[in-house]
Amino acid sequence: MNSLFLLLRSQFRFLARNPVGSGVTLLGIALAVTSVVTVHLTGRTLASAVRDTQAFSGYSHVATRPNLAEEDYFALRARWRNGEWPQLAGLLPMVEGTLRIGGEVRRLVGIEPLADIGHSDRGLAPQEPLPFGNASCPSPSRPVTLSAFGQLRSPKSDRLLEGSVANPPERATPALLERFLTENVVASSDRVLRAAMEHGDIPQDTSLVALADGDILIADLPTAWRLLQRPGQLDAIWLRTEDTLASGRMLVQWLEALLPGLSAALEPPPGPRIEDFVVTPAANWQGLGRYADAVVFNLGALGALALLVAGFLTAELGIANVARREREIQRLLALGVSGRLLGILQVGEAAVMGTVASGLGLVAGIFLSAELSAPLSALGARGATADATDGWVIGKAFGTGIVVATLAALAAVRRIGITRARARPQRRWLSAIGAGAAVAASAGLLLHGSLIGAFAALLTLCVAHMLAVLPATVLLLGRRATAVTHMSPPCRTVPPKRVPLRLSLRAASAHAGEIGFALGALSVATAAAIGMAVMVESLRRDFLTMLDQRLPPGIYVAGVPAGADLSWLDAPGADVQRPGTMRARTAKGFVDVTFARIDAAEAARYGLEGSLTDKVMLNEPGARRLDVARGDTLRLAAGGHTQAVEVAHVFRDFGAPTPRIIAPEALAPAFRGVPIRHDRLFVAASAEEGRAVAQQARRRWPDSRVQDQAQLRVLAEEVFNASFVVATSLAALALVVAAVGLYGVLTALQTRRVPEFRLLHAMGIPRPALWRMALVQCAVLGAVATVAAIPLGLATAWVLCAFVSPAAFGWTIELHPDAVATLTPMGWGLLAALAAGAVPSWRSAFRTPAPADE
Amino acid sequence: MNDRLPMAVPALLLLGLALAGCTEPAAEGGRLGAVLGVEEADGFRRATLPAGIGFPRDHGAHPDFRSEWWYFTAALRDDQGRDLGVQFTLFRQALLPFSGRGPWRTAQVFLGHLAVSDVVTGIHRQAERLVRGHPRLAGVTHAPNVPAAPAPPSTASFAAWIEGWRLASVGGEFLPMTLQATDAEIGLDLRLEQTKPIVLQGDGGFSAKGPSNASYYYSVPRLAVSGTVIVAGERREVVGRGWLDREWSTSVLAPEYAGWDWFALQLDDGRDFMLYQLRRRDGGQDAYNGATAIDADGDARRLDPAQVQLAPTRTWRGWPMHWKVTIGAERFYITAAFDDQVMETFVRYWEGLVWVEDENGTRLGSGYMELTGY
Repeated sequence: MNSLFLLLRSQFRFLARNPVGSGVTLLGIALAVTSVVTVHLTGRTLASAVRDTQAFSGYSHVATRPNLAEEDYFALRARWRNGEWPQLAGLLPMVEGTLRIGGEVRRLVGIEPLADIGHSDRGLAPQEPLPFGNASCPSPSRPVTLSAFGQLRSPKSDRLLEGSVANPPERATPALLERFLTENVVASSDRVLRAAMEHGDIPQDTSLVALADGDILIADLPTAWRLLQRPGQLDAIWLRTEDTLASGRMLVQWLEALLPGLSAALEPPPGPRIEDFVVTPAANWQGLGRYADAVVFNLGALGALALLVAGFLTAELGIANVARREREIQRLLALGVSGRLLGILQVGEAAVMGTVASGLGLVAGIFLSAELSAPLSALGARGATADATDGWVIGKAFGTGIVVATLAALAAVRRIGITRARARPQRRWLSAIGAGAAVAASAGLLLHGSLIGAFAALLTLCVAHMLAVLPATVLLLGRRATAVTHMSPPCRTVPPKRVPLRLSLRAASAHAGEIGFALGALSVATAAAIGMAVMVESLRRDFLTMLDQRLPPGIYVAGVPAGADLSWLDAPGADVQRPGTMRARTAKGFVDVTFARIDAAEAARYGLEGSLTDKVMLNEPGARRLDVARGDTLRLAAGGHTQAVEVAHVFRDFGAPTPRIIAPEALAPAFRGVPIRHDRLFVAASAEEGRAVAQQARRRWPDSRVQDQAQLRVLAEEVFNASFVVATSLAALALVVAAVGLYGVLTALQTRRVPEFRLLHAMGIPRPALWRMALVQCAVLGAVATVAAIPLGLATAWVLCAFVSPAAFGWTIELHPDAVATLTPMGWGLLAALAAGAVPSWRSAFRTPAPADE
Repeated sequence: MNDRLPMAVPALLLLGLALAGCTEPAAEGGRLGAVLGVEEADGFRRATLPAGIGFPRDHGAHPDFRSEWWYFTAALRDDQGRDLGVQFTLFRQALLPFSGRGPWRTAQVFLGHLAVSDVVTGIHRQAERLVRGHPRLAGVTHAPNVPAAPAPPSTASFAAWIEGWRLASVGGEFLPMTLQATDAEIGLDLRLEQTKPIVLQGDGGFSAKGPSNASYYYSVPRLAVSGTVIVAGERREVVGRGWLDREWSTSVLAPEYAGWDWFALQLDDGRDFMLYQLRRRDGGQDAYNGATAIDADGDARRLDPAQVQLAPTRTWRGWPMHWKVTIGAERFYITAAFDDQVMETFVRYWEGLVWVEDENGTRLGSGYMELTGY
């Protein structure tokens, strides 16, 4: 018992004597846990907010067919009620079009509010029992089907229809719904209501009421039919399946709970097969659906990254914490202390530190996420702290902090020989096979074409890198250093001054294997930074090309008032364009159509020959979502008209998440009667003429937005750069984390080299030279890690450009390998290695006692 | 006061909550009042006087009243001697006293409840449908109106449906009827034959529920029921006894009531009973409780509420499952065929098969019990 007490005292004394090292370990683990908790809670809040704001949230698929009418809805509903498609839980018919209200052309959506009321909000919102007598009823936190329509959701509209100018608060809430069903009542926002009253363009016999924040107009089906003049017609029937996230897929649900958002990249469960209908996933039908999914998935991927980095950091710190004591442990072993007991003490200490750090990290994470969620609440997101007690968060926090730290300590104990480790032969061929399998798996995942496949491919490439590429580089370095050392003097004379350098090289190669994990992390972090930088540079070039196409010199005016006088622009030679926009339906979703002049000059900027008169240009997200390519024919429907058009060109449209068509003006008459918005204006002009036009436009239309295209281009570039600051910061953060991990490992490593340094110092090598030697070793390690990162970095950039971006956002990026974008992260990686090694090297070089001291 | 309480209240409450948003607990009493009470009743007709009920007119819908229901329950037995209870209800609720033009502009909303209680397995299966009163989705039709009472009750052709569930006359008379209703796990294909005359509850069909609340209410007791019941995919040939209730009103329930307990009992000796008691929020006895006794020949007799005592003797999760019933000198017991027959619909209530027994446990008959407000 006394010996155990002494050992415990020794353990605590060591901690007390090394406050910096112990503090770094504790702080590092706490930071790792904090990051995990914060990303998890914030990710969940954001994912929830993004999903909730999608229109018709809760509906997984859309069924449609040409000339869809109410009869089709009744027939489909009857078959569903008769037992067909048992996975369906609800149907919602919808018609859509545009209407000029409040001086603007606005989107009008007609729905049947009672079509799915029997299942209102079940599974979509928390079920809070309400007392009624002793009975209870499920409480829809938002009212019924209308609330499932995301545009209506706002804190103010939790009670169905609040009072407004046209519908004063003294009117009872249910009365308004009754009017909604029996009269021509259209719901929209206060803003639209005020604008409509100001313009006096509310349709006859129609009431407009303020309902929510969105500017969309919502009406009961017969009201919408009347206003759109499309009696009995429907555009789609929304389908609600029993589980919109993943029917019966427990694994996916677990994945979502562990890493909120990650399941968004998975394809939705297959919809029901309905003959004569096209059934499309809701996210594809909704313009922003896939985009929102991609955003949510990125949050999940960030959560996974945070978990991985935190696990790595914790493991490295746990290993380093034990390794720092190696000399002391060896002495105790020599004194006859039980290795098993020493091992238990080290692992126990790691568990205690992990527990304390996890607790601190959990509290800090909850606090941080609460701070971060404050601005999100403005978006309607619920506070992240509400989820603080979630078992997944606590599990992740303590799993990261305690389990990883304990396992790492156990590994370290076995490595330094306190306990007897089972001898394992080095099987490099196994690593090679593993790496090959990982590369093959990457290829397969990439062929899958999905977002999650692309990210999984990146992950397996990283594994292959750590298993094979980096060890091979280290092996090469080691052989080279050994060969140089064994060269005989006649072949090559080594000046005495270079002895420390040679020793450094040999030491670097010898120890590279020992710190392989930390080195691998630095290498992967550098590769990620290279990949990100090359991708951003590639995107920048494509983006600038797109700006050249889309921003010819001139003045652009948005928000031109309806009926505005344009005669002042009729100067001889003035080139004025006033594009019109409308919304059209296709078999697979809606598309925004811009009617514009596409003459030979305009077409040439898109790489086309000759003007377009009957063909259209479709943006890349639209081509993907609608599954069409150049040469295919699209059927556009709007306001009872249908027009087949050929796609002449698919153009890049970075930043646009929704399908968009640029059609020649000659096609506009095919949609006669459909409200077309003409609120934009472009005047081709030189810089000097442009200034005069802009001045006039601002004076005549003070509410409009007037911009010089050249300035717009500058602004776009600024926005582009600002957008990728986050990406650059993340890459830098990865390098910092890798450096912290490397610091821990190098501290332990340099401690082990103290006897070696002592000998060299006794041989007359001054301490500064010893420090330089140690620094060179760090630089060599950094160089190895960063050079080995080049192939992985370029592969990462390729996957990001060719797979991730198209799958996530529908934008293809042409890869442009760039020297600066490649070398800069390498430099930072080298600096990170040097920074991580500077302090441990200094300590081992200058704290090494001289022989006389002993 | 031989009035059956509105079994439809849970459903109507559902409509009220669903349409308005079940958001504030404090508002629930008001909501119930809004749906079944006196609030916001402008424009609707109200049951205010004992007015003659006439048939076939009153078999059909009364859209000028706010709420209405066709309520069928039955105790059945299959050819292997297994007992089953079935319930089919069609509720109608008018959101406004008038409708707009065209089939979609209706102010009528319909709700259907379907349930089968399998006594052997002790499983209560149920389904629910709620739609707008578009004729392609739900509705009620009947023969053209005929002059109202004092003409004796007569029958005429009739149909009530909601998305494939259909209760309809077989020929030109109101009865016999067929009931066809199928959902994922359960299904009914039944024929309903009249064996006793229609019983006008209350004062000639005027059923007072308080000083200023009332409904019109009649019943068709002891229907001879035969046909097929599907339970979890298994088709069972059944026979048994059914009970059909009809009620319509605008303001039925006053806010001082928490709920009610209602029974339709059919004894093997040929007698039938309809019993109910209102439960006041203050716990007091209510003067508007009531009961009706129907003898084997079909003669109905209102009972003095003071002669009827209903006392719960066992509860299950707060629901009274066993009752001691005293009617004058006669005493018997009502016990649930099995406990869990809760309607887990938008609003929870208990509706299920019960046995009538003597003090020795000998079965005297069967029936249906409804419990609300627990």
